[in-house]
Amino acid sequence: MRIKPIVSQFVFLLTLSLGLISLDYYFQGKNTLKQYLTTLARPVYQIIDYPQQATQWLSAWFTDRQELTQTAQDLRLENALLKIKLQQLEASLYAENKRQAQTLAAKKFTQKILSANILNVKLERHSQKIVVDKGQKDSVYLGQPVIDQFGVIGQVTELSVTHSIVTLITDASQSTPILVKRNALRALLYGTGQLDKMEIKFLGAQADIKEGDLLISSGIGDRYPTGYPVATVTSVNRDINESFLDIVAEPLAQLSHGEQVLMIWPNNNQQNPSPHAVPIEEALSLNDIKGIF
Amino acid sequence: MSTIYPPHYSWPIYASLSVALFIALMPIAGWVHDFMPNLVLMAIVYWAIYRPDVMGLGTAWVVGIIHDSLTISMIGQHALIYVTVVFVINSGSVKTKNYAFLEYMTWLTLFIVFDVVMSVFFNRIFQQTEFEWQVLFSILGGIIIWPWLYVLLNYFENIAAEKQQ
Repeated sequence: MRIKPIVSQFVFLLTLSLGLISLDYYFQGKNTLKQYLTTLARPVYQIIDYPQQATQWLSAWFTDRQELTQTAQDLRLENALLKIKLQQLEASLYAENKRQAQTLAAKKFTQKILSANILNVKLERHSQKIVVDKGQKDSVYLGQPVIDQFGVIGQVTELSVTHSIVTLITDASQSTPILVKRNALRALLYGTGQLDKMEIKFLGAQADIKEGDLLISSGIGDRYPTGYPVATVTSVNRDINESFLDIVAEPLAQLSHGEQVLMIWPNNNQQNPSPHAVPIEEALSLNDIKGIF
Repeated sequence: MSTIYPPHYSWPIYASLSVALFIALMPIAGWVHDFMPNLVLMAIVYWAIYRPDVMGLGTAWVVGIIHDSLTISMIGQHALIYVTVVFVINSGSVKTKNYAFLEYMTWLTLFIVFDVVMSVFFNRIFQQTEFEWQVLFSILGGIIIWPWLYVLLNYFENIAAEKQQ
């Protein structure tokens, strides 16, 4: 029996597709082929970014003062850094005892950060990711934490030379170790696939947690540095027939909008930071505001 | 005996696929996102029916790989879906050119459902995500958009054909 060419071609391409899917799944974020393919996608991301760039350019052009534009940009960055610093310090003070706080202080002042632009956003129910314009050439590594001025955004899950893909904390596959700022109660915060909703599961019915509690990163798992704001509790449902509480929280970071994020290199000596990355306190002192803290 | 040669123009095909990919990359949120169908798939279905000489299995596979690379999907996911859809069309199972509107829509709906089911399947298997019933809205969105997309693609196809003559 002679097989039609279209059938053999179909079987070949089907097998090839399944092979590529398996390869992608097996190597997770280390798939070299995918890295090359997504690197080729970089120009397309830039084209898509042009309307946004054009808007910014027009806005700056109408002010007609380059210095003013530069000052505004510096102030935005400064403001973002200040908010991060303030929230981290506030959270740490409430969450940890004196000894732990001292340990944290030693750590956090050696963390380095690098600003990155968001190139593309994929916000679907089953997959919530963003593409940022920093990649292997900037010493970005898999699992690197990413934040914005309001809180934790997510972690780098795929890398290419020129850019990287960050999976948001709200992605259904993500869980973030947190503690309640008020009483240092530890728990895991799960993504639901919705941008404004996360859940704490498996927390006993007697746990001391209530609406409005601030949840900060606990540092467990060495993924997210300790003390960064993650979410606020929006509802706690205590069902006497259930062993666990039904807790819903809303992430603090600007997950659906915003143009820039900050890549963090925690001080664990495991990853060399980008030469362009600056320590948080140095970025602050450049603006002569270190004394505030 | 006269031989019918296929038309030589192909720019409407690549232009429409580029636009569809561009839209797929645009960050769309809210209910619009829920209703937004896979326009790349719909364009592929149209061209596989009307221009099988260009939209063959190889082209569909390449478009799928590009789609996967651009939209942060698993590499091969869309390629597999598109190749399967084009195979069903090109193997003669779908004689859509001669079909009535209702049958035409039925086939397209089946392809969109297949796309949604496969996407949910891949995400469930490889990313352990739960099924969200809102994904079904995109099927409805596809049914609503299809007649308009058909008219639009047909219009550009006619323009290209006129220029060729």
